[in-house]
Amino acid sequence: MSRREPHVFKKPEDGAKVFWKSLADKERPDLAQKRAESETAASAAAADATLVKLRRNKSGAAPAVAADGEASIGRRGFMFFAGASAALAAEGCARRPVEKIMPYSKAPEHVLPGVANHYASVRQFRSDAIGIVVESHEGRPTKIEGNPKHSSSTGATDLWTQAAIFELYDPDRSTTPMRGGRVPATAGVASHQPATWAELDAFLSDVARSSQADAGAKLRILVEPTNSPTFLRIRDALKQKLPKAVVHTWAPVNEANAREGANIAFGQVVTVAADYSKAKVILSLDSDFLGTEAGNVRANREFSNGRKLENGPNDPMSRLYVVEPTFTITGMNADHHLRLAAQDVERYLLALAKELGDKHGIAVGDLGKADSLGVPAKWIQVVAKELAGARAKSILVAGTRQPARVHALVHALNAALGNAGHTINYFPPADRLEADPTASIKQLADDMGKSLVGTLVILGGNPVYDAPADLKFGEKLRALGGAVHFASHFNETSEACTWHAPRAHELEAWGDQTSLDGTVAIQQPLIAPLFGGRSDIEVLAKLSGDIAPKGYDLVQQTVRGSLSSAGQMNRAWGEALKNGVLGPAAKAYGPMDARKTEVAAAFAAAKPAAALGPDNLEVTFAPDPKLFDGRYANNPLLLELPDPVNKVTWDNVAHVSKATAAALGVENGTLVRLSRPGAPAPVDIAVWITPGQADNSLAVTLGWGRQKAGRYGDKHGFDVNGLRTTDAMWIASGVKVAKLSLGEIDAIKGRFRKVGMAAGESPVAGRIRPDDPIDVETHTYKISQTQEHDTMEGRPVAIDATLDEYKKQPFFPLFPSTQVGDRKDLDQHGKTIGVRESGSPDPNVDPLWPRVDYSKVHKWGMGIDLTTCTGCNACVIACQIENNVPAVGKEQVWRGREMHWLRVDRYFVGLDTDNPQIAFQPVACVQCEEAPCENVCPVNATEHSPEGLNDMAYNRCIGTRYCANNCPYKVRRFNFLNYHTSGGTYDDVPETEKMHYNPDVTVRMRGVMEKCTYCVQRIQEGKIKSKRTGEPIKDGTIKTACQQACPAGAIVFGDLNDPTTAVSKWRAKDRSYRLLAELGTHPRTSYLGKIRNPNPEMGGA
Amino acid sequence: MQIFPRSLNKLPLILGGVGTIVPALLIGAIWYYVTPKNFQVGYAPTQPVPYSHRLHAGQMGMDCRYCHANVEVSAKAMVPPTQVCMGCHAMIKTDSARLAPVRASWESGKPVEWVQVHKLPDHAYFDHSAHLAAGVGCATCHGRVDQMEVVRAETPLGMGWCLDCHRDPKPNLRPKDQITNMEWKPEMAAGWTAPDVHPPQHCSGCHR
Repeated sequence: MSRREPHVFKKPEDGAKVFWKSLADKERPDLAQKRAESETAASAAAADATLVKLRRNKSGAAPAVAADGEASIGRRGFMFFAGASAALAAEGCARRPVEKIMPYSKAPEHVLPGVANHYASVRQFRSDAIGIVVESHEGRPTKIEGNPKHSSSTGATDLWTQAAIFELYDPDRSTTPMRGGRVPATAGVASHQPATWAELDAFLSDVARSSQADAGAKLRILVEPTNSPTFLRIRDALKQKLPKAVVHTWAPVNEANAREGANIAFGQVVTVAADYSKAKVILSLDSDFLGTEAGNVRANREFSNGRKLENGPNDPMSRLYVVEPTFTITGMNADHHLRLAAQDVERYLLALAKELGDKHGIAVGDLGKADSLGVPAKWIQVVAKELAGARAKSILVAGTRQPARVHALVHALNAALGNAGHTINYFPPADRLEADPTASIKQLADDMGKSLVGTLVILGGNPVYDAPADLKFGEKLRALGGAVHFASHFNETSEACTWHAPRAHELEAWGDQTSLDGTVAIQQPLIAPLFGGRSDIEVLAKLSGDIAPKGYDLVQQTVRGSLSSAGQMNRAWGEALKNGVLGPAAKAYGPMDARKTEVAAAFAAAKPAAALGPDNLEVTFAPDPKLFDGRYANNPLLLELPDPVNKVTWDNVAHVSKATAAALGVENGTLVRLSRPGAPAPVDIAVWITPGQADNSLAVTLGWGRQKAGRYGDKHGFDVNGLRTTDAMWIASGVKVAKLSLGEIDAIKGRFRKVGMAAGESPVAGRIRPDDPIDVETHTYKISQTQEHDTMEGRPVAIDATLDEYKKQPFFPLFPSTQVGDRKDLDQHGKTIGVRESGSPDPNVDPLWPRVDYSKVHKWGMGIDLTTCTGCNACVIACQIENNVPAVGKEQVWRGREMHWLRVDRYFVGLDTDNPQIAFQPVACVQCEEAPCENVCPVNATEHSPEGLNDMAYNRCIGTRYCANNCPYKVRRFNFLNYHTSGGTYDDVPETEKMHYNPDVTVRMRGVMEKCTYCVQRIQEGKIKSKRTGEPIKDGTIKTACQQACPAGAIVFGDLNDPTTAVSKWRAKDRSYRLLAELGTHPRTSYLGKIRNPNPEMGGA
Repeated sequence: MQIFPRSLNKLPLILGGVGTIVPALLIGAIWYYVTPKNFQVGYAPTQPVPYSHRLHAGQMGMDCRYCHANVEVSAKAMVPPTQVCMGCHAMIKTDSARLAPVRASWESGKPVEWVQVHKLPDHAYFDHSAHLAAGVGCATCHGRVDQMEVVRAETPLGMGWCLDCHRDPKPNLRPKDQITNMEWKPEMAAGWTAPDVHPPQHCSGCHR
């Protein structure tokens, strides 16, 4: 427990808790302090210093490059810009620019210019689907929120759903069909030319006709796993019509292990919907159920519901044990985290099952010998005891990465513990017939190799980039005579196909989706396809012989078919569109007994894995917490989002533990080559030493290193698919690591982008410094990381305690009192809220000017619960989309210029660098009542509103940056450049990209300071509505973007003057504290201290 | 020896005077030139259709909200869609040459490109509905549109001008049923007292 001491910082020797942001921080706190000082003292000076260093680096190593790379603004450049701006200024003064108003010719129904419409729809995520409500301004979707009526959303979203708006308006989306001509001389190299839809249709009709003739013997279709009932209906119809045609399935991140596991345990495929709010004990075996697994939004909501401690320390709180090789979002929220190589997780589970059977009578059959090699005994004994003591109240969950037998044993244990039907429900899968994607694409590749395939139609996906490397899918596809790729972008796969066509985005096309619990929702388009793209169901229907299928009709047919009578159709359809759900959830299967012998047999058949060591390393693959499998690779918001674990932006890295790094002789940023017998292509990647990483195990994420993603995503990070083969889809052992030599580094340099702005090489030379991706002095890969930005100089800011400590000391986040005697504490309404020993955190000295009375107006405030915040980052993206916050590019992040109004700080806690605890803390502007920023603004650009908001008037700001320097929370962001553009003027913002701006928020330009405003546009909207209707603003009607997106419900917002609002109640809680209140800032945001629930029996484990 | 004539003795005085007054005037002139008072007031661009508010709103007495239908619920008052024009002009003056662009828009589905008269900067967020709800009449900001053949800007719409009213709104308020009444004068509501409204005077009231 870290008690706050106002000015005296206890040393670790005296028992103070240690918070650190990086390993460097922890080892040399003095250096960290120094860096922090220089950072806060003068960020500009720091940036200049790096500039100077850069110059020296360049000229020292590569003089030839330095000549043109040495491109800071010289005299000529200055004159050019000065002249240009003078000309522009003169032009601007001529007279007002003439602007046109273009009303509709025929006004669409229900569209009021200036008033947003909201439509319910749904979005697929793995085997789940998240119900959404999309805000649309005059037919232009601008923001996605969760649908409260949809069980997989419960009103919240994940970060990908938030970022989907940008996907829709991605300037690099493909706009037209492309036909590739084969050039025989260069064997299979296609040069693509734009073609018309009519030409493509003619081709598709030919395919359909010729397929009809031979029952589809030569026709293959490659699709992504789907939850869409309409898609499945059409697929089955197609199979009937063309019995010899084969529909293959492929997605690099799929549920094959889970499906096969259920098959072993129950003899049938089921989907698992766990209710984490009902569990007392949760054991995650390498499962990132809060992050990248299907059902993540719902899991976040329910997990936090089980840990809210709404009524204080005596509420029940679940306990989370996580066994995994590397930190995931789930692992970072664990009460106990065991770092264990992925291949050993199975071994741990066996030992646990044996312990449960031997000591607690929870038998799941004879599983043979169980060795618990290297696992602390407590992790087996105590966890087993706890699971046995929480029958029907526990959850075991296995991750995508773990083999099917682990899933099967987890099913068996859940059944034996009586969890099924209580904390876990099983539902029928959306697609019973879905093949194992790995086997399926292997079959396809083999058939292509044997020339059994005539025409291949690929719907979405990017198999050339992400298919298992040993299949050589790209080579085979290039040799194929007829291949069509429907995709959002002209990507690696499109390049290898004879035809490419735009695929409609989920916000552009009709469809339907089944979520984990069987709830079906209609996917309602918000906008006509921007580039005429087609949806999967339309293409599939066309292949099955339909002439001009329309998505709307296809979905209607499915819905009509699912109803008992045709008369219900109109009503059911209307209700489904209005509510976003079509009927209730599917009926869950009752508790099922696991087939113990089959489960045991699966383990008996498995080969034991060889012990890991420096010569036999393990590489674990995971979907990236930002780019997922690479499908979001051209989204600058996601590219720039700091990784939840290591805060790396614009790149992925290979995580290694400290011990392994020492054994391999590598350090942060060292480029290494990972190779493995059986994997055709070695992987070159930069390593990063990460606390909490298992020894002899390297963790890499998919989705990076794309070479044809688009203007933002190209050449960022490292493509790790070369190591991924059909026999090692998730865990590859036997990996060798070799440091790259200088020659090898030079050879691969071309794969990486020069460190420039988001949109590639800037047209305005000199403004953006093109730079080497490799540090020329240390030969390490340059990584832009936000980890050490915005340091709070050693003050305790993210305050945590264990549940026991909380019970003993409910007011733990507050300062201990120096005054004697029990002292009553009053809340802001003067009501006694408790007797505590702590003093007020506000200083005793009054501010320099009279305090403002806020009692007559709204007093907006925010509460953030550190206990339930899982660090999922949905709020960060939501904030960016809502407030038109730009991404700035790798180089600018490197200079500490990221623009995130809301950041999620991640602290490592504790002295053990290998097994630290984690604390997340979202920090945005806390809206100080006595704001230090306001006092130093020379032009009154930041001023207080009567409601206590710290207003920012962009049009007044002259860019002195005094306010940012004076802000103790480091939440002010400065536009050093025109970040919305690719470096030039606003004219070069791509047309479609302009469409994603929120029209209610100013788009800021260069030279302007900005920061969180508590979503003042939403407050204004709420207030104006209340003025118009005369109804008072109810608590919860005005929601900030971060609050609305948060799946954990960890953010509340409202009026502090009303004691009944959620935010007032949170603020009055015992564990509530205000960040750095001792400085006298009187912040409006309050935090609830983080509570962990460790098991005392575990000791330090 | 006297080189300069005696009259030159006054030169410093004159220079001093002129040197102060002329720059002052110059600054004043430029200052005035760039104010909304100069830029905004009197702006009356030619519209693609010579629509006459004097005829429609003045002589025929049509209510503002017949065309600007959203003004009570939306930030934007809304320039009416062609549909609204055609509601009448499908039967009246069907062959008028002046209405040709309207008919063309109706047939082609392309909008009539009206020129914006009342323009606020992009960083100012004005909401019509809030002002109507408070009881600010149309004529207060837009002038006697019912007497204009061609719409012209009557008021500066500058920040200082806005704040004049936001600091002391009462003189500009009227009963809510008189909002669109162009001829309303305070004397016309003898027993009525302006309600207590508190328009925002802080930055985020209009800038966000």
